[in-house]
Amino acid sequence: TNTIVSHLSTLIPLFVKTTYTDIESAEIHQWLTLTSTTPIPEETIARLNGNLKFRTTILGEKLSIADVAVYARVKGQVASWSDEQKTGEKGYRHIVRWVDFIQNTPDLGLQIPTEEKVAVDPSKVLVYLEPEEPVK
Amino acid sequence: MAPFNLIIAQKASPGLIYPVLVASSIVNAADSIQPTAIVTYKDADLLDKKDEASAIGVQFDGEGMIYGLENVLYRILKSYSSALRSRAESTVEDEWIKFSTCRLSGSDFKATSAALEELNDHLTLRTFLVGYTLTIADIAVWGVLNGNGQAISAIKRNHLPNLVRWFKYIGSMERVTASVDSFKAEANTKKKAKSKET
Repeated sequence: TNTIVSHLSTLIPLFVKTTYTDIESAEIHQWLTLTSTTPIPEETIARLNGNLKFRTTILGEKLSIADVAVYARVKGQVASWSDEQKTGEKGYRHIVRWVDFIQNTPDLGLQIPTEEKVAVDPSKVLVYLEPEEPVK
Repeated sequence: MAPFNLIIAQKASPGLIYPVLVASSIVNAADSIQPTAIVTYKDADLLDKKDEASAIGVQFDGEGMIYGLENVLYRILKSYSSALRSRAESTVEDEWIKFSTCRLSGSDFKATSAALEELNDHLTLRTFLVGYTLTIADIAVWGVLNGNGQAISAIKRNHLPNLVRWFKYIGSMERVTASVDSFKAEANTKKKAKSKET
């Protein structure tokens, strides 16, 4: 299916005019491979959440086909999560934030109908995390 | 749309200048036919010695000069709300303009820390401060933060991940940084010219 994903990426105008370094391309490929089984294993979900802690997109600040493909693959799982799993103490809050960004950003022009979006209320956070200890 | 002149006191605190610089470059990018904002630098602390708010001024065609960060921002917003707000008729962004000038420009460490933690919480499930696009809310807060050394070093401690993520993202946008970079470059050339004189 990753061949199909690569082909699809040529259909989104933003990706045609964006260039990616070798490292970025390798990272895109890695996430496409990691998320190719259904359901996506817990271990990969945790890793994705960690990756998105300091990153707005999967690559950091740049949008890529990995954002679109991984969104499509993970959205069913995210939609089924309880509030605790979303924004509880150990919730995957960073994935929820990113999912809501991808499904709404005009930059990608996905135009996903409201009923197909994962319902996210940005003002509904079960637990706000305390500031972390600075990394020395 | 009527073009406007932006005048900047180069030696003023960057936090009083950056939000307007960024806003004007966004407005310029929105109108690709002709640049709307014309920026002039003045080698001074204030544009008008009698007016403490005069770090920055704006003048629209056929109007008088307006001084001060908030006044200037609101004047630009009046003419360009669709480019700078989440929706043309939205006013949620104004709260963040107030937040940036009231809570982020001070030098009290505790107060600044509390404001940064509030921002971090607000950004838990949000990529932008308001809606899903860059607005004057992000521009004001990002600009004022950049002029506050205390806030910058707090962000560098990486203990507020949502804020760090947002700060990096806004700072990665070329249309945001281009105007700030040319401001810094302009200041540097003047410094170099001066050191050659002495």
